[in-house]
Amino acid sequence: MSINNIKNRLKESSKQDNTWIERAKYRKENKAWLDISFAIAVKIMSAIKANKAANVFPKTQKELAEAMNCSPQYVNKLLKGTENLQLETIVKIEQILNITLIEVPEFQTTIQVQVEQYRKYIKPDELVSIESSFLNYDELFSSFSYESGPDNCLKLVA
Amino acid sequence: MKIIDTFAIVKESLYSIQFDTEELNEFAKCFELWNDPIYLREFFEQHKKDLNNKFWNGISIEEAIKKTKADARLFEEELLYIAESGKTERLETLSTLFEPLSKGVINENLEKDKAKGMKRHSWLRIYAIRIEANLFVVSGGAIKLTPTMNERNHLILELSKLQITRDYLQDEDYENLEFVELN
Repeated sequence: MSINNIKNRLKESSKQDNTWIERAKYRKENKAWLDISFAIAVKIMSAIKANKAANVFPKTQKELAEAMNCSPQYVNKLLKGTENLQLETIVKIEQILNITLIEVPEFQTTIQVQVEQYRKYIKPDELVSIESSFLNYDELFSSFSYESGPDNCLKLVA
Repeated sequence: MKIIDTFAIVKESLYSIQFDTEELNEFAKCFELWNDPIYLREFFEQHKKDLNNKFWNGISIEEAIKKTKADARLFEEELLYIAESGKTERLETLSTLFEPLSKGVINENLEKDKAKGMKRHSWLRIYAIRIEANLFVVSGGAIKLTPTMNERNHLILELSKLQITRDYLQDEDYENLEFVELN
Protein backbone atom coordinates (compact mmCIF):
# COMPACT_ATOMS: atom_id res chain seq x y z
CA MET A 1 0.00 0.00 0.00
CA SER A 2 1.38 3.44 -0.84
CA ILE A 3 2.18 5.99 1.85
CA ASN A 4 -0.66 8.19 0.63
CA ASN A 5 -3.11 5.32 0.89
CA ILE A 6 -1.91 4.53 4.40
CA LYS A 7 -2.28 8.18 5.40
CA ASN A 8 -5.78 8.38 3.96
CA ARG A 9 -6.85 5.17 5.61
CA LEU A 10 -5.50 6.33 8.96
CA LYS A 11 -7.25 9.68 8.74
CA GLU A 12 -10.53 8.24 7.55
CA SER A 13 -10.84 5.21 9.76
CA SER A 14 -9.24 6.35 13.03
CA LYS A 15 -11.33 7.30 16.01
CA GLN A 16 -10.45 10.34 18.04
CA ASP A 17 -8.77 9.36 21.31
CA ASN A 18 -10.36 11.13 24.24
CA THR A 19 -9.11 8.83 26.98
CA TRP A 20 -5.51 9.93 27.06
CA ILE A 21 -6.03 13.62 26.40
CA GLU A 22 -8.59 13.89 29.19
CA ARG A 23 -6.50 11.95 31.66
CA ALA A 24 -3.33 13.84 30.69
CA LYS A 25 -5.13 17.15 31.24
CA TYR A 26 -6.45 15.91 34.58
CA ARG A 27 -2.95 14.82 35.62
CA LYS A 28 -1.56 18.21 34.64
CA GLU A 29 -4.27 20.30 36.30
CA ASN A 30 -4.16 18.27 39.53
CA LYS A 31 -0.44 17.61 39.56
CA ALA A 32 0.23 19.21 42.97
CA TRP A 33 -2.00 16.95 45.03
CA LEU A 34 -1.74 13.92 42.74
CA ASP A 35 2.03 13.89 43.32
CA ILE A 36 1.44 13.79 47.08
CA SER A 37 -1.23 11.11 46.72
CA PHE A 38 1.17 9.07 44.54
CA ALA A 39 4.03 9.41 47.06
CA ILE A 40 1.68 8.34 49.87
CA ALA A 41 0.54 5.31 47.85
CA VAL A 42 4.14 4.26 47.23
CA LYS A 43 4.97 4.55 50.92
CA ILE A 44 1.89 2.61 52.03
CA MET A 45 2.76 -0.20 49.63
CA SER A 46 6.31 -0.31 50.95
CA ALA A 47 4.97 -0.56 54.51
CA ILE A 48 2.58 -3.38 53.56
CA LYS A 49 5.45 -5.18 51.87
CA ALA A 50 7.67 -4.75 54.95
CA ASN A 51 4.84 -6.08 57.14
CA LYS A 52 4.50 -9.07 54.85
CA ALA A 53 8.20 -9.83 55.19
CA ALA A 54 7.97 -9.50 58.97
CA ASN A 55 4.59 -11.28 59.13
CA VAL A 56 2.96 -8.32 60.83
CA PHE A 57 -0.69 -7.25 60.45
CA PRO A 58 -1.75 -5.67 58.07
CA LYS A 59 0.36 -7.39 55.43
CA THR A 60 -2.02 -7.29 52.44
CA GLN A 61 -4.35 -4.76 50.84
CA LYS A 62 -7.27 -6.79 52.13
CA GLU A 63 -5.97 -6.68 55.70
CA LEU A 64 -5.37 -2.95 55.42
CA ALA A 65 -9.01 -2.55 54.35
CA GLU A 66 -10.05 -4.53 57.43
CA ALA A 67 -7.88 -2.39 59.71
CA MET A 68 -9.25 0.80 58.15
CA ASN A 69 -12.80 -0.51 58.24
CA CYS A 70 -13.31 0.26 54.57
CA SER A 71 -13.73 -1.68 51.34
CA PRO A 72 -10.79 -3.33 49.50
CA GLN A 73 -11.89 -1.26 46.47
CA TYR A 74 -11.22 1.92 48.41
CA VAL A 75 -7.76 0.67 49.42
CA ASN A 76 -7.08 -0.18 45.79
CA LYS A 77 -8.05 3.34 44.72
CA LEU A 78 -5.88 4.76 47.46
CA LEU A 79 -2.93 2.65 46.30
CA LYS A 80 -3.41 3.83 42.71
CA GLY A 81 -2.34 7.27 43.95
CA THR A 82 -5.45 8.99 42.62
CA GLU A 83 -7.38 9.52 45.85
CA ASN A 84 -7.73 13.01 47.31
CA LEU A 85 -7.19 11.83 50.88
CA GLN A 86 -8.68 13.42 53.98
CA LEU A 87 -6.37 14.22 56.89
CA GLU A 88 -8.42 11.86 59.05
CA THR A 89 -7.72 9.00 56.63
CA ILE A 90 -4.02 9.81 56.43
CA VAL A 91 -3.64 9.84 60.22
CA LYS A 92 -5.58 6.57 60.48
CA ILE A 93 -3.19 4.91 58.00
CA GLU A 94 -0.16 6.34 59.80
CA GLN A 95 -1.35 4.80 63.06
CA ILE A 96 -2.25 1.44 61.53
CA LEU A 97 1.05 1.06 59.69
CA ASN A 98 3.16 2.94 62.23
CA ILE A 99 4.64 5.23 59.60
CA THR A 100 4.73 8.95 58.90
CA LEU A 101 3.08 10.03 55.67
CA ILE A 102 2.91 13.80 55.98
CA GLU A 103 4.58 16.41 58.12
CA VAL A 104 3.80 20.06 58.63
CA PRO A 105 6.89 22.26 58.89
CA GLU A 106 7.47 24.18 62.14
CA PHE A 107 5.57 27.46 62.20
CA GLN A 108 7.75 30.36 61.18
CA THR A 109 7.09 34.03 60.67
CA THR A 110 9.29 35.73 58.18
CA ILE A 111 9.22 39.47 57.92
CA GLN A 112 11.01 40.75 54.92
CA VAL A 113 11.39 44.43 54.27
CA GLN A 114 12.29 45.27 50.74
CA VAL A 115 13.68 48.68 49.94
CA GLU A 116 13.11 48.96 46.24
CA GLN A 117 13.54 52.59 45.55
CA TYR A 118 14.14 55.67 47.56
CA ARG A 119 15.47 59.02 46.62
CA LYS A 120 16.13 60.84 49.81
CA TYR A 121 15.01 60.15 53.34
CA ILE A 122 14.87 63.09 55.65
CA LYS A 123 14.62 62.91 59.39
CA PRO A 124 14.34 66.17 61.24
CA ASP A 125 17.64 65.96 63.09
CA GLU A 126 19.75 63.15 61.68
CA LEU A 127 20.31 60.79 58.78
CA VAL A 128 18.79 57.42 59.52
CA SER A 129 20.43 54.29 58.24
CA ILE A 130 17.93 51.89 56.69
CA GLU A 131 19.69 48.97 58.36
CA SER A 132 19.43 50.61 61.78
CA SER A 133 16.52 48.56 63.08
CA PHE A 134 13.65 46.60 61.66
CA LEU A 135 12.38 45.46 64.99
CA ASN A 136 10.08 48.36 65.57
CA TYR A 137 9.25 49.24 62.03
CA ASP A 138 6.12 51.29 62.85
CA GLU A 139 8.28 53.69 64.78
CA LEU A 140 10.91 53.66 62.09
CA PHE A 141 8.42 54.40 59.34
CA SER A 142 6.72 57.20 61.22
CA SER A 143 10.01 58.97 61.68
CA PHE A 144 10.50 59.31 57.93
CA SER A 145 9.07 61.72 55.50
CA TYR A 146 9.58 61.27 51.79
CA GLU A 147 10.81 64.15 49.74
CA SER A 148 9.23 62.64 46.67
CA GLY A 149 8.36 59.23 47.89
CA PRO A 150 5.68 57.02 46.44
CA ASP A 151 3.67 54.91 48.87
CA ASN A 152 5.25 51.71 47.69
CA CYS A 153 8.82 52.57 48.61
CA LEU A 154 8.82 50.02 51.38
CA LYS A 155 6.97 46.75 51.04
CA LEU A 156 6.21 44.49 53.89
CA VAL A 157 5.93 40.86 52.99
CA ALA A 158 4.91 38.63 55.86
CA MET B 1 -3.50 -10.61 19.44
CA LYS B 2 -5.20 -8.50 16.84
CA ILE B 3 -5.51 -4.80 16.10
CA ILE B 4 -9.11 -3.70 16.44
CA ASP B 5 -8.82 0.07 16.02
CA THR B 6 -6.57 3.01 15.34
CA PHE B 7 -6.90 6.20 17.35
CA ALA B 8 -5.86 9.74 16.56
CA ILE B 9 -4.01 10.95 19.65
CA VAL B 10 -3.15 14.20 17.87
CA LYS B 11 -4.96 14.48 14.56
CA GLU B 12 -2.77 14.11 11.49
CA SER B 13 0.42 13.48 13.45
CA LEU B 14 0.24 10.93 16.27
CA TYR B 15 -1.86 7.78 16.05
CA SER B 16 -2.05 4.64 18.13
CA ILE B 17 -3.34 1.16 17.58
CA GLN B 18 -5.51 -0.77 20.01
CA PHE B 19 -5.35 -4.54 20.45
CA ASP B 20 -8.36 -6.74 21.07
CA THR B 21 -6.85 -7.83 24.39
CA GLU B 22 -6.69 -4.28 25.79
CA GLU B 23 -9.20 -1.76 27.07
CA LEU B 24 -7.15 1.24 25.95
CA ASN B 25 -5.13 2.13 22.89
CA GLU B 26 -1.40 1.46 23.35
CA PHE B 27 -0.40 5.09 23.79
CA ALA B 28 -3.02 5.80 26.47
CA LYS B 29 -2.23 2.45 28.12
CA CYS B 30 1.47 3.33 28.52
CA PHE B 31 0.79 6.53 30.40
CA GLU B 32 -1.91 4.90 32.47
CA LEU B 33 0.53 2.19 33.59
CA TRP B 34 3.44 4.58 34.13
CA ASN B 35 1.23 6.54 36.53
CA ASP B 36 0.03 3.48 38.40
CA PRO B 37 2.09 2.73 41.56
CA ILE B 38 0.59 -0.77 41.89
CA TYR B 39 1.63 -1.75 38.37
CA LEU B 40 5.05 -0.11 38.74
CA ARG B 41 5.85 -1.88 42.00
CA GLU B 42 4.88 -5.22 40.53
CA PHE B 43 6.98 -4.52 37.43
CA PHE B 44 10.11 -3.44 39.32
CA GLU B 45 9.83 -6.32 41.78
CA GLN B 46 9.61 -8.70 38.85
CA HIS B 47 12.65 -7.03 37.22
CA LYS B 48 14.62 -6.35 40.39
CA LYS B 49 17.61 -8.19 38.99
CA ASP B 50 17.78 -5.77 36.05
CA LEU B 51 17.27 -2.80 38.34
CA ASN B 52 20.23 -3.99 40.41
CA ASN B 53 22.50 -3.65 37.39
CA LYS B 54 25.28 -1.18 38.20
CA PHE B 55 24.12 0.98 35.27
CA TRP B 56 21.11 2.02 37.38
CA ASN B 57 23.36 3.01 40.23
CA GLY B 58 21.68 1.05 43.03
CA ILE B 59 18.28 2.72 42.67
CA SER B 60 15.63 1.37 45.05
CA ILE B 61 12.20 0.19 43.93
CA GLU B 62 10.56 3.21 45.57
CA GLU B 63 12.88 5.60 43.76
CA ALA B 64 12.37 3.73 40.49
CA ILE B 65 8.60 4.10 40.82
CA LYS B 66 8.87 7.84 41.50
CA LYS B 67 11.39 8.34 38.68
CA THR B 68 9.09 6.56 36.22
CA LYS B 69 6.10 8.72 37.11
CA ALA B 70 8.08 11.97 36.92
CA ASP B 71 9.60 10.97 33.58
CA ALA B 72 6.22 9.90 32.20
CA ARG B 73 4.79 13.32 32.97
CA LEU B 74 7.58 15.12 31.11
CA PHE B 75 7.37 12.60 28.27
CA GLU B 76 3.64 13.00 27.65
CA GLU B 77 3.88 16.79 27.79
CA GLU B 78 6.74 16.77 25.29
CA LEU B 79 5.03 14.32 22.92
CA LEU B 80 1.87 16.38 22.96
CA TYR B 81 3.73 19.63 22.39
CA ILE B 82 5.86 18.28 19.54
CA ALA B 83 2.96 16.53 17.84
CA GLU B 84 1.08 19.85 17.78
CA SER B 85 4.02 22.07 16.82
CA GLY B 86 5.13 19.61 14.13
CA LYS B 87 2.06 20.48 12.10
CA THR B 88 3.42 23.95 11.41
CA GLU B 89 7.14 23.88 12.34
CA ARG B 90 9.34 22.03 9.91
CA LEU B 91 12.21 21.67 12.36
CA GLU B 92 10.19 20.58 15.37
CA THR B 93 8.40 17.42 14.32
CA LEU B 94 7.85 14.06 15.95
CA SER B 95 10.97 12.96 14.04
CA THR B 96 13.04 14.96 16.51
CA LEU B 97 11.78 12.68 19.29
CA PHE B 98 11.67 9.35 17.48
CA GLU B 99 14.71 7.52 16.18
CA PRO B 100 15.17 4.23 14.33
CA LEU B 101 14.85 1.18 16.55
CA SER B 102 18.12 -0.23 15.29
CA LYS B 103 21.19 1.75 14.40
CA GLY B 104 21.93 1.68 10.70
CA VAL B 105 18.36 0.81 9.68
CA ILE B 106 17.12 4.12 8.34
CA ASN B 107 14.98 5.29 5.44
CA GLU B 108 13.25 1.95 5.39
CA ASN B 109 9.64 2.17 4.30
CA LEU B 110 7.46 2.27 7.44
CA GLU B 111 10.49 2.40 9.70
CA LYS B 112 10.29 0.88 13.20
CA ASP B 113 11.09 3.68 15.64
CA LYS B 114 11.44 4.41 19.33
CA ALA B 115 11.17 7.52 21.47
CA LYS B 116 12.95 7.74 24.82
CA GLY B 117 11.70 9.45 27.97
CA MET B 118 12.94 12.88 28.90
CA LYS B 119 15.07 12.21 31.94
CA ARG B 120 18.76 11.37 31.69
CA HIS B 121 19.18 7.59 31.34
CA SER B 122 15.44 7.23 30.85
CA TRP B 123 14.12 3.69 30.67
CA LEU B 124 10.78 4.71 29.17
CA ARG B 125 10.19 3.83 25.53
CA ILE B 126 7.35 4.46 23.11
CA TYR B 127 7.52 2.31 19.99
CA ALA B 128 5.99 3.45 16.73
CA ILE B 129 5.95 3.05 12.97
CA ARG B 130 7.10 6.14 11.08
CA ILE B 131 4.98 7.05 8.10
CA GLU B 132 6.54 10.45 7.54
CA ALA B 133 8.37 13.20 9.49
CA ASN B 134 5.39 14.16 11.62
CA LEU B 135 3.18 11.11 11.26
CA PHE B 136 3.70 8.12 13.55
CA VAL B 137 1.59 5.18 14.64
CA VAL B 138 2.30 3.98 18.17
CA SER B 139 2.44 0.21 18.57
CA GLY B 140 3.29 0.10 22.28
CA GLY B 141 5.70 1.12 24.96
CA ALA B 142 7.82 -0.33 27.72
CA ILE B 143 10.20 0.13 30.58
CA LYS B 144 13.51 -1.01 29.18
CA LEU B 145 16.10 -1.89 31.80
CA THR B 146 18.37 -4.08 29.68
CA PRO B 147 20.78 -3.01 26.90
CA THR B 148 18.88 -4.88 24.17
CA MET B 149 15.27 -5.85 23.54
CA ASN B 150 15.95 -9.52 22.91
CA GLU B 151 16.65 -10.45 26.51
CA ARG B 152 13.26 -9.90 28.13
CA ASN B 153 9.82 -11.23 27.22
CA HIS B 154 8.00 -7.92 27.63
CA LEU B 155 10.41 -6.30 25.16
CA ILE B 156 10.23 -9.21 22.71
CA LEU B 157 6.47 -8.69 22.81
CA GLU B 158 7.00 -5.05 21.84
CA LEU B 159 9.09 -6.15 18.85
CA SER B 160 6.20 -8.37 17.74
CA LYS B 161 3.70 -5.55 18.22
CA LEU B 162 5.82 -3.29 16.02
CA GLN B 163 5.77 -5.94 13.30
CA ILE B 164 2.01 -6.50 13.65
CA THR B 165 1.42 -2.73 13.40
CA ARG B 166 3.61 -2.50 10.33
CA ASP B 167 1.76 -5.39 8.68
CA TYR B 168 -1.55 -3.79 9.60
CA LEU B 169 -0.59 -0.51 7.96
CA GLN B 170 0.74 -2.19 4.84
CA ASP B 171 -2.06 -4.63 4.22
CA GLU B 172 -5.31 -3.48 2.76
CA ASP B 173 -6.94 -6.74 3.68
CA TYR B 174 -5.81 -6.87 7.31
CA GLU B 175 -8.72 -9.02 8.50
CA ASN B 176 -7.34 -12.00 6.65
CA LEU B 177 -3.93 -11.93 8.27
CA GLU B 178 -3.15 -14.62 10.77
CA PHE B 179 -1.57 -13.80 14.09
CA VAL B 180 0.60 -15.72 16.42
CA GLU B 181 -0.58 -15.92 20.00
CA LEU B 182 1.84 -13.80 22.00
CA ASN B 183 0.53 -14.29 25.48
